[in-house]
Amino acid sequence: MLPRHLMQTTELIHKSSLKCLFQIHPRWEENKKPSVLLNIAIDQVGFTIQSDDENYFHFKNNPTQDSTKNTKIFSHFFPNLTFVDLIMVLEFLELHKSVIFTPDELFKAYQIPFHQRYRSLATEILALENKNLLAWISEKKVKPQELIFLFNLNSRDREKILNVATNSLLSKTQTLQYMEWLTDLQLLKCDLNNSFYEKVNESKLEELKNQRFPNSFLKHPLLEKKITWGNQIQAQFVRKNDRAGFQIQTFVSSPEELAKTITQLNKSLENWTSNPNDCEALK
Amino acid sequence: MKDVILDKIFIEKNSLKSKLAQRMIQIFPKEKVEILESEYDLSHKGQLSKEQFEWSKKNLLITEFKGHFFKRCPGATQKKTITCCNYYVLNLGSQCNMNCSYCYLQSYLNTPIMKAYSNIDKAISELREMMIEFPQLPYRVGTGEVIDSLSLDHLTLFSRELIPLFKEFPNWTLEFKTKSNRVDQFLDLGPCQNVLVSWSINPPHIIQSEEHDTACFEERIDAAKKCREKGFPLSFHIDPIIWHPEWKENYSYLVDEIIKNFSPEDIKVFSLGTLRFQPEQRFMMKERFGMNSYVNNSEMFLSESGKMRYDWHLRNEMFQFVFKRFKNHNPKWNIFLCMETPETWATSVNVSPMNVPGLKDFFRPLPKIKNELSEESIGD
Repeated sequence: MLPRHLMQTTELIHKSSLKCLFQIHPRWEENKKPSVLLNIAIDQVGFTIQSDDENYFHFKNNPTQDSTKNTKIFSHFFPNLTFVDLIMVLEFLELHKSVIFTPDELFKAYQIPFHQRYRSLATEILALENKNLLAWISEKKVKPQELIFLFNLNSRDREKILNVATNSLLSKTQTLQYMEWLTDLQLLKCDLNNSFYEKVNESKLEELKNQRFPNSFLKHPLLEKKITWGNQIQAQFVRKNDRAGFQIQTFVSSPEELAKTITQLNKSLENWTSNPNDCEALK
Repeated sequence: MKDVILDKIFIEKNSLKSKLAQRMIQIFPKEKVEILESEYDLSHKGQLSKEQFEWSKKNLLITEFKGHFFKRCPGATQKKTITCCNYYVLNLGSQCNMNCSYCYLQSYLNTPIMKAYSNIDKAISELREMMIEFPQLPYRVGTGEVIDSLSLDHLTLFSRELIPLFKEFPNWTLEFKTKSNRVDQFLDLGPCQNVLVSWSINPPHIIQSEEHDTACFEERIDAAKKCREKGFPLSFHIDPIIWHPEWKENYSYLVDEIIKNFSPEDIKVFSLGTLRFQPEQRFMMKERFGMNSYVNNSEMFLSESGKMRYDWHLRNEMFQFVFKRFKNHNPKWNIFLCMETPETWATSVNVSPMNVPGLKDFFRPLPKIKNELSEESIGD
């Protein structure tokens, strides 16, 4: 229970009276860096935002005040905290018996559902002391729900997979997909080459995908048909969601050219329909 | 089929005098039953963890339902992408005591306990009101959306309340959809031509590997035969069709066994569907059933409807395979595709449901029910 005289509302205080117990150095995006705020400190009774002069704005804890307000103010000044940062904040608060935020409210302010599992994942990540991993999580704004697939692994394998993120040249979505497939193959006890855990690029992604789904894409029945398209038509086998097919392009600048193209397309159609049983290709 | 195993039955005080609560108190030993002075805390937010989900299958809450019991099947909300059959649902509880690896409840439910509603009389009044307003229209009402229709029915006896109501309104159809063999408790109420007893069914190999704690293949077939003998029409839902290396042999066996035991006249309708699930469900499935489960092994793709599905060509192949095997035996088998796009209908079965005499009524537009209309006006 905090002493009554400390239960005050917002006030301006001089920095000499501030006992700063914990500081978070915010990661500001360059074009969003505020001109005034530099730092934020949480102390036992509230949190303090440093201005550019000798005075500070101090938001003190007030049990009659809605703690949701505290989290809104906090997240306003620190919009870019990751779930790992939030766990650090919570652990600090617990250590110093501060009640300015509840876990649910703090996470909600960052649009992340709070779950004890995320806490254990974050603690594990912190224990790795891998700055590149923390930077990846921060830059790519990785949410804990996106790493749920890791919970099926033991901590040693989890570390291996997490480290893959720091070696990735792929986008966030691709990297997460790569990590998930790697996790699946690990759980399937597949013998994986160490190179899958090293530099990760597009060709490695494709290679891993073929390992994960050996009955896949490259053996699609449409590809086995060997349809001829003619010189005027460029056909590319593509996948759009759950449908794979041919994206066809052509250029026509006269009715004659159009007629020629249509004739070629009709030949391709005959080619396509000449093998009635495309199901055989899926064996 | 194994007996239902419940660790605990919680009964809210305001449900204590209900028939359902009294029945539970009679059936279960004292130490399993707990009367709650206040409402059970259902304030859980977000998806359930594996442990919470598994706990919810073994603990039952008897409570009153405060919403609308009767509403349209959620598939109808995806009408822009899929061909929907105008199914309505009557939710008399939620969660399921059985354990299928692909079950959509893993991503759909976020309440941490199984529920059975004590105020079925309110459900009956809601239905009766609609039935009196539209007695001539062919509404189809199922009770198996978020709970198996019959796996707990030998305890709840809801079937014995519903069947007499539907007997009064012969144009309306009640469908029980189940993976259990629990039918003995209502057979004496037959015959009843508008109470359809239907089974979700898969080949024995898939039932064993993916549909845990359900009735085995033979038990479902035997239960269906019992219902047929007592004058209840039947239906089978081969859904989800799950790809595995021997899928053709196994689904052939399934089709052949159905053909051997039943005639097209016995089976009012068949529906076919392939494996599909919300993308986030894959995490729970992997955690609970491991990577050796067929549902976790195959390559799935995000479809336009937002669900993960097999490749479109593979789906078509599977539908064509099962469809043709039935139709080659007898063109009278009535088969439709569940939650599929118009393109899949056209390619797989070469027909639109509106052009099939036995299926036309399923897809014909029906007047909206009261709560659909009030939800629309809130949205305006």
